[in-house]
Amino acid sequence: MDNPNPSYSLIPILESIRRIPDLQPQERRVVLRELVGACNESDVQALQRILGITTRSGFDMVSVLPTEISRKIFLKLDSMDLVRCRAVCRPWRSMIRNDAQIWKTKILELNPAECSLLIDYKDKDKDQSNTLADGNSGTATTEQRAHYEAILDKISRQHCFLGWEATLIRELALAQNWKQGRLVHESIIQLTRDTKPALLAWPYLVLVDAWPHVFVVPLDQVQKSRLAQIPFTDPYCRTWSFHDQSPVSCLAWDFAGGENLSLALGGFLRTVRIFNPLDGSSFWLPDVHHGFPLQICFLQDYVLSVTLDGLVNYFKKGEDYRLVRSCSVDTKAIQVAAFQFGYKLKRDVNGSSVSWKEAICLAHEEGVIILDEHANTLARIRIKDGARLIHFQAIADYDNSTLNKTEVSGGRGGRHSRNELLILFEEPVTRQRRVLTVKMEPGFQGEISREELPQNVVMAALGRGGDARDSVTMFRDRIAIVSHRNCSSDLGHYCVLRVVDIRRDCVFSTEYHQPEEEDEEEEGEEEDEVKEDEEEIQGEEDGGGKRLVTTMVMAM
Amino acid sequence: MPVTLTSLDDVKFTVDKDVAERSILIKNMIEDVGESDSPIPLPNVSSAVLKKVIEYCEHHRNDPVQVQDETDDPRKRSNDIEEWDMKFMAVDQEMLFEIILAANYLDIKPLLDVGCKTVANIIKGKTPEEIRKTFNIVNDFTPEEEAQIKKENEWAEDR
Repeated sequence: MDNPNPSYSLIPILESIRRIPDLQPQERRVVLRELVGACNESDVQALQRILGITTRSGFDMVSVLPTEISRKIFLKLDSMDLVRCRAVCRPWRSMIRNDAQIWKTKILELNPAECSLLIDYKDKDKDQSNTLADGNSGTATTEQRAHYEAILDKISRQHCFLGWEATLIRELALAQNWKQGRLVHESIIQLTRDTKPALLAWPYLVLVDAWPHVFVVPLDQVQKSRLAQIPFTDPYCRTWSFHDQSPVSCLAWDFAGGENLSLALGGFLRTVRIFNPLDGSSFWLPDVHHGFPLQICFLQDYVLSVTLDGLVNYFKKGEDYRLVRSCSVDTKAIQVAAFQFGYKLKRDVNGSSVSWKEAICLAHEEGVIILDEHANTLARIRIKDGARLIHFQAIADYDNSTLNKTEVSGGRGGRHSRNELLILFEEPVTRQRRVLTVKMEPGFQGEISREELPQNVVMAALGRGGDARDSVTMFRDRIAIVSHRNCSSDLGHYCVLRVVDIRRDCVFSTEYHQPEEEDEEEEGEEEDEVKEDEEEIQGEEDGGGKRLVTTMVMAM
Repeated sequence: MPVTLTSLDDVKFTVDKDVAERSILIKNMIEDVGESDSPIPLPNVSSAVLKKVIEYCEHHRNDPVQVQDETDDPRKRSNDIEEWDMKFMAVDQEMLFEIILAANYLDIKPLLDVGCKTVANIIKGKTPEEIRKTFNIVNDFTPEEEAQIKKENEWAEDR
């Protein structure tokens, strides 16, 4: 038909063919059969090529081979190849993405010593740590693999589990970007001038911005341009609006409930709200009129609010969160936190030996003072002369079974349990930030058992002090630092969010320079837009089932 | 004792029993039927493919029988292919897929494995576009989907 100069003998045939659309369906089929029957092999190939434009032909393995064989082939690919195969065509994509087992197998192939998922889990669950630690060899035994698989299955049942595919991609992206020295935390936060990133609280970045909105965003999902573009797939990750007009002064996550986190928000109305992000319910701690809360800490059984006047109020967790005791501490403390350590530690107080586990830690510029619940001093940890404490964090793996065994044997008993105070401080002259680890283990003598983390990369990443506007938070081995630079109105707002993993010696960072055109007048509009976007995303989520988490560019 | 195999297009191949029994399907058939002179029909395999498969089985007639599927153990997974197998697999794609299908049907695990490895090696290191070209696959994503996927895979590119 496309031939511009058909020979005369062809004309009647072409004319007949042009009448095909007028025929009845059955008649058409007869003609087609005749037509195909008249074709030789090369004609059939030509026909396939023509049809290939609209349907797939050739030797696409997914369509040619039975599913189980395609699957076998996919399983033989590297994870990175698999990732690229998702982008080939729809049948490939749906086949690969719908097969959770493929992704899980690939996760099992990762070196457990480098898999952040397993490392995180190891941190949380010390029972698993002994066997996991042997994973360095890369050639795990069948037994070990069964063990990893059991752990992975456990992880996969946690509410925050992203699915095997997203989890693997997260691991891969982390490794890939890290290998190439690329800034892994490509995420850039849309910070307005009023944002208070001081309220970082692991594992989520909580931005209290444009009150009454509170953005709760996992630190690893903070997306490039717009906060509102974050896929809100995580039940904890969304914007909450509180209409009581009370600014948030402090917040903390409670991890004691296992996977069921709750968030405590302290406000200038002298109250603390315990908030359950999963169902949106909230509860006010009894108002004891002791000044507004500066800090909130969680213990296994208590919520502590530290007030401006230096009162530490213990509220018993339960239905009514009643106030059980208060004690007064030094009001000049930089940071007050309460921890329950995994070991019972002994200390002579006023001539008699006391054993303690739960303690309030007060951070001053020169060190940490550990107090018991009646504000008696249990221990003092001094950092070097002239150094300045910035922040501290305890890693306290409490487990009663471990505790009992330790007590019986009177020693470490070979069990892995991390009980450390990590202190971020500034060197006296250079103002270089460093981390000091104090082991809170039996035999802890207050000032003796401490060591500095030597890693150079980490040191550099921690930055130098002197910028009082830095907001710092620590969670286990990770330190998140938000630095504000050039905050004058003409230069715009420049923010750097760095997440440093001090044990793995990794840095994930991001920079954000607020465009100058984003003036104050526009901020109101911006806010509304953000809200709309967010609603849209929520809507999509409801309609389309589980949304693909596409922004797993970074780690944590 | 030789065994006769009949292909889809009715071509007869006579091979030694130990060669034929590389195929678990044929092995089971022989066990079920007992010693017999009648040819074994293989209605799913063409003569061209069967010839190739027999060539493989003859070369590997003395290999130990693979008990466990290698892919079951991800740690053992390696896409290294023996030199002879590599040459044997240097065929066009149609034949490659035919061999894989035949190996699957005839239940010759090592051959199926080599076939899958060969395909995997073809895919390895290729970009999605190169994979499409290689397998003559039409990109059926909408431009929006494509952009989304590209963004999603950004980190995996520019190695």
